[in-house]
Amino acid sequence: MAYTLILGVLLAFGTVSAAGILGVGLAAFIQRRSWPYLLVALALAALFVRAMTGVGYMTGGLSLEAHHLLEHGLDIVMAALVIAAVLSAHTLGDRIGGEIR
Amino acid sequence: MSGTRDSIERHIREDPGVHFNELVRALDLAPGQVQYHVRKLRRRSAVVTDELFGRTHYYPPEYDEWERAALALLRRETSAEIVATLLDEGPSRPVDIAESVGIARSTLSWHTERLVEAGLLEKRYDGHQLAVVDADRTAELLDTADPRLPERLVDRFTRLVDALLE
Repeated sequence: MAYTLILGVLLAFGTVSAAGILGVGLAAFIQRRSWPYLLVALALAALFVRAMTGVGYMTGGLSLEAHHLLEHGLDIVMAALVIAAVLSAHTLGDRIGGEIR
Repeated sequence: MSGTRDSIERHIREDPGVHFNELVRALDLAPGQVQYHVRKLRRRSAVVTDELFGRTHYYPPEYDEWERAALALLRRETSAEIVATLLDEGPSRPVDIAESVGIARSTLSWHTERLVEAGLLEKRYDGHQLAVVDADRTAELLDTADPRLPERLVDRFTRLVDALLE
């Protein structure tokens, strides 16, 4: 009982914060419109989906196996997107401001 | 004359350059309601609308085009800090401004590109120096523009990402 309650509170906080930071990430991408910002926003979207798989499992929509597979699959997606953002910052992202250095 | 329309007009007067989403959020109204009343306010020239940098901003009628663009940009905390630094220190080299404000060079160039385009700043000596075009008017607008929490969050997020990725 206590476990379910704590898990519910954690999931609620996690999902709401993930949605909030995803909103900020998307707004930043809309402002900048560059590859690194797109990749960072997608990584935050993966974080949000990861939180949602927890909700899906708790409310019975997802089996334990599907929840775990998705969760840890999304870990890889997130890491890959952040690495891609770092790499693209030096190749694709530098489209502005070369002239005022 | 409805109370809602009054409160929209008052909010635009208090926060010139406020954009649509923020108006909806701040006054807790439905988007359609805001659209309807703004249209009425525009028709009797009580409010001016401007599409700037991908957003619709609202102003009281007394601001001219240059001031409207300036207000929209100065709502970005980092743009405001760059302009304030230049007002304090006079014409400066981009590297020095980035250092004073504490931002990555990519953040600085993103903001200055728009500030130059809007005629708030100018590049001198082939871009080796940046300067404020009209110090008095700019200082006045800097006092008026007041970024709200969501704008501050997005601005700080871009500073963080630029700094991490540089």
